[in-house]
Amino acid sequence: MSSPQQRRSIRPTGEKYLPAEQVEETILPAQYRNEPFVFVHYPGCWEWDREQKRMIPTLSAITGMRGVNGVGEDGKMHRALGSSVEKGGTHILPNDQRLGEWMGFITRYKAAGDPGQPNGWCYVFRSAGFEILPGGRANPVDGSKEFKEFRRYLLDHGIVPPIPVAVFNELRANADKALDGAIRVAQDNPHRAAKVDERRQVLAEMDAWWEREMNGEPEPSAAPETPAPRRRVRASPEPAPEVDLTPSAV
Amino acid sequence: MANEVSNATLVSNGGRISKVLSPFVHTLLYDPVGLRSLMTFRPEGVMGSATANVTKLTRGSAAAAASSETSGGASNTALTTANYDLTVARYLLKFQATDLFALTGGPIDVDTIMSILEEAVELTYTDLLTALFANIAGNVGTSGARLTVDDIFDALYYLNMQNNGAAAVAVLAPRQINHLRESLRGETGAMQWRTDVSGMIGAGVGGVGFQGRLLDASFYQSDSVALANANADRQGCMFTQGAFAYRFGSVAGILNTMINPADVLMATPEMFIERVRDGANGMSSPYLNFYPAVAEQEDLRGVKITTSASA
Repeated sequence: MSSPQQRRSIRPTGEKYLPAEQVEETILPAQYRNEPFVFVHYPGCWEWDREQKRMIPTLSAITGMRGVNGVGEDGKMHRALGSSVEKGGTHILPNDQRLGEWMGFITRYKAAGDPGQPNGWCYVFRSAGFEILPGGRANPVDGSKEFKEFRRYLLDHGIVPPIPVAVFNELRANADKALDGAIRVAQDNPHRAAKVDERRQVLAEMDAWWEREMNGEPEPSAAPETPAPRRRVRASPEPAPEVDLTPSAV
Repeated sequence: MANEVSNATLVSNGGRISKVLSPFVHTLLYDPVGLRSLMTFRPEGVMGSATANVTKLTRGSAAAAASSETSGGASNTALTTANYDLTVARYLLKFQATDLFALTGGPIDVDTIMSILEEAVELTYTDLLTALFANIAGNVGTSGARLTVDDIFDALYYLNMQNNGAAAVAVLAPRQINHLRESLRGETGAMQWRTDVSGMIGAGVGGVGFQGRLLDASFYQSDSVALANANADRQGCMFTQGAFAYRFGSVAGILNTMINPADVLMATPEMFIERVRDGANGMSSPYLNFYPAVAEQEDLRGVKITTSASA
């Protein structure tokens, strides 16, 4: 078994964050190679975040992969972005000035090419990392905590619209159904009774949050308006994505 | 004692060699599954553009009752249409082999390279298909939570709400398939007695590709299913026929006019492998070229399944 010191991590830390300054010689396996992407939020896409005890928007992604959803040889994404608008999507572009601290939310790591292919890149949200174990195996490092803060920021700053009432009601009904399911399962599996309490608590938290939302009351433990400074601010995504991300392309 | 006839002495003096290459090759593990057949093929011929624009038509207008026996007439009914694009892009794969490589022969030869090139077409379509999942609007599953049978039911309910037909297909990451099987093991009540449940648990474990059928849906595993939510999750998809479409640029025009037929090592309507010779350096390069396009045809025919990427 390898010790932590033996492991080489390419999780971005401190000033090594910028991929251009990434001095590690590590390279991800080919399976992680992908293309730049743009986030998009659809009106019905929300989830309950148990840590923040509130609804936050979920994000889909439109890839800049050639040949996918109208992306051509030139890598321009206007057709793909256009079709997502038809579905009611709100685009979150990395160079949107309203993102403030979160501008340029995409980073990339070197990724190997398939046999016979040149090396490429792995584009991910900036908090996502990878840990390379001896032997070359890559373990994805979960960066979802910061990603949730990002999604909350989008909501708090009006970049995505608030949750529609009908969507909340549907999600609340789903949570109710999940509670019923947990009770049913616990009847035959007593060791899973804890799930019932957990589901019940989620339902209570959802109701409490919705009540506050409807009454315009502040949250009991309001989170800071902007995320804590943990990374250097970048004026624009670096390196520049190889696709046309300008809003005018939509 | 001296002058024994030993293997070691002969190796030292040229009577034996230290190793001989075995005629057998062990292929390392990989996911060879092609999922192109899960998409709808759009063979429309396209001229003058790399993009084929496919029309989508909304049907299903019931008649309205007349407002009066003698007056009121009738309003026009709009015919609602939309469209989506299938834009082909070049994909290629190249090897460069020396004459000495071919001359020395061995278990890995030019035929090996050719078979890898040929296989690359299907693997690419699998990658292209799974790249479409992230933009599907519908979603079931809980970020950071393991996939359960409940999520599968939620996906089926979602598709049912949108008037989808039966015969859904799910393409999930290996981790998600593992979680599903784990969840099935703990099912009680009616579920535990279903033969498809026992089949799903028992059959295909460790296999790639098709994993079994559950609740009338077919389950496939693919390591191309991408990470999502900053590496927290894998994002598979359940969909019905017609959710995704593909086409390819016909290479007949290229073969007839651009390439010396003697250089074409293999050709089908959608791909060709061309040999390029570098005589000065004694090298030959087989190039695979093809021009695929995939697109989401109808969003409501699919639903993402987003669940934990962790064990």
